[in-house]
Amino acid sequence: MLKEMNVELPVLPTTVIGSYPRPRWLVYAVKLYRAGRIGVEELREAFDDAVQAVVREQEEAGIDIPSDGEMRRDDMVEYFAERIRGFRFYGPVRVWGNNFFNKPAVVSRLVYEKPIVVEEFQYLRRVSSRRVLKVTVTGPYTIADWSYNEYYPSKEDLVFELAKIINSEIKRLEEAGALFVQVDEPALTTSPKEMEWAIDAVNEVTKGVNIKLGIHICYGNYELLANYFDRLRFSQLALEFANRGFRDIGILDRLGDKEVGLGVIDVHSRRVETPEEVAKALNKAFKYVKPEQIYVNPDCGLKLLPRKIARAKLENMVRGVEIVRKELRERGLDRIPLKR
Amino acid sequence: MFKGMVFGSMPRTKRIAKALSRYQLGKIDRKQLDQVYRRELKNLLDLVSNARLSRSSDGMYRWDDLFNPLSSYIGAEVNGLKRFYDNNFFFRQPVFSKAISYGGAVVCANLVDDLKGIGYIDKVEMVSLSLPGPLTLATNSLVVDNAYMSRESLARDYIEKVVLTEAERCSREGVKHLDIHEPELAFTIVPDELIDLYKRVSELFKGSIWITIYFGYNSENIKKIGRISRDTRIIPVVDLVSNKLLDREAIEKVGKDLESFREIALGIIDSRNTRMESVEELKRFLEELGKTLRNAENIYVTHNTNLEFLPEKIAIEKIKLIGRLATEI
Ligand SMILES: [Zn+2]
Repeated sequence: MLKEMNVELPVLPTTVIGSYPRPRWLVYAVKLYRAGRIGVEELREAFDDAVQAVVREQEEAGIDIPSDGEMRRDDMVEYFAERIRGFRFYGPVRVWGNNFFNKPAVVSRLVYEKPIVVEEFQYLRRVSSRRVLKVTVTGPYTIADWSYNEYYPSKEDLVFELAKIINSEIKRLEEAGALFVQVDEPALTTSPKEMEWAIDAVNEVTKGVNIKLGIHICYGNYELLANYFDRLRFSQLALEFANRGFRDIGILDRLGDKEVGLGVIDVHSRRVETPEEVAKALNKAFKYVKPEQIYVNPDCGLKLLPRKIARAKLENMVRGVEIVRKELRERGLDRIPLKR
Repeated sequence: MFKGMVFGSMPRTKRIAKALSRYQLGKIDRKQLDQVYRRELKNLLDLVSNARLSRSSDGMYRWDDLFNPLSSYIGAEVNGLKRFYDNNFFFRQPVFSKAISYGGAVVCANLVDDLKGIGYIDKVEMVSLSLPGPLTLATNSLVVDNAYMSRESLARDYIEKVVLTEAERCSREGVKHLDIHEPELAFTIVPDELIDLYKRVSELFKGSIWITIYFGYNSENIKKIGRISRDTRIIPVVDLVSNKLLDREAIEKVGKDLESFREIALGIIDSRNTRMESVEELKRFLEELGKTLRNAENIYVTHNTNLEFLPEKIAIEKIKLIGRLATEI
């Protein structure tokens, strides 16, 4: 059973998955920094300014639970690997076409030396007007799956070790006042034969944590995932549905009393969804889950979209939600408690 | 006798990545891009020679993935990205809405031109031509509009129109090694019909055909290939890393599967992990396994799958390691 926290949100809270397009000038600043032409202080200032800009943008679009747009992170795995002792980088490897990724290697025992994203959260809280904010952390399975393992006897050992580290990080976030942390595990369903222990490992990150925890899994095998819904110790599953044309949405009837972060915006398409399409998607979901169980978000991070399109998509997402909220309000459903 | 070899795709270097994006932006022309590809090919062949390996692929630098750009030359369209087996690597899925048509042996022509371009045509006998395997291509493609009635019929047509065309051209150009990439054979039992088709390729091709099977090990398929290996120059390249077949217990099993082959390539260097193997351990393993492979005239030591899954500098180190292993036993 989910527990109510002492915070309220409008029904169908709107949020993002995490990443947001970097402003063009920030991309330029990062280049200058890498070329040694600006220093780390100037870069930090640029990051701070960018966070302000994109948080403001989300709030203006009507997003109830913004993130910092992951402005400071080049890559969701690299960023964490750089900040955990025991990783090493040998150079880029190709992921597809002409796109590369700095794949980390685990070369010694992993050690959680210092907080990874706590300062990001603290800054976000300073600049946002919203009470509830979303902080994302990359999950242990995905970090391991996208790394080389030179040290641990098995992938399973590595994932459990990472789970302890991510658990420590989430506890630091809780101490710093975070109310909602989302664990990103896009790789979780990649190897069906590893799912059994992988679910146990991601559950490790929730141990002793008393704030809201979500898990985001995208472009994976949802039929397979649905078998594990009841075992996942997260109050919310943020899933991608727009890209798959709302196929598989029927798995939501197996959600129990958990919440869904319903992906209603396709981040791989530049076409801006209409508010009516968003409203229609919500009505589809109502067949399987109660409105009180739904948060509304894009399928995945927005970072690969042009910024203007990302913003337009969020605006229409909120407009679509407003259409449905009006109907719900007439039925007396206006606000919901934050649950963990 | 132990020899070293390299097959498949090498890491795309920073030089190529940069040149490609400049080419796409119109900042350099095709000729300049070709020069960059060729410089990398030269570097690879020099590295392989210095490591005293007996043969190598061309690094597949011109390939985006196992199926592209070839699929666009043979009349397929390209669809969205698909995961390449259990790797964090994605390929563009070929879509067949009509039967394959292939104008000429583009892959072989490129290889020969590249070798001439760097003045290495005298090395043509040590460089292999790489092609996707029929079953792997058919499994990972999408067929629409009833272009093919089954996976097997697509595989057959691909062999007849593409593999045979390339093999014939290779024979004329003096290319002695043809690498057929068949990771799918790690998972799917190869139909007998396809085995016969491999045989047909080997009848036409004046050289060795290397069937590279990776991401897993499949006893049954290896035995099936073993049955035709006597009358052909078909050599299996097997992955002993993915299923952890590098200990004493594995020697008996693997030895049995491979005992009929006169030539065999053992993928024992992990190209999906940056950890460097211990030369001494692998030497002991190879010596033991070698004893059980009494029919083998040549045992090739190699990596288990494409070196491209590694960062460039580790891939280079692993090639050197293969050379050390092959020469020190
Ligand atoms: Zn995602």
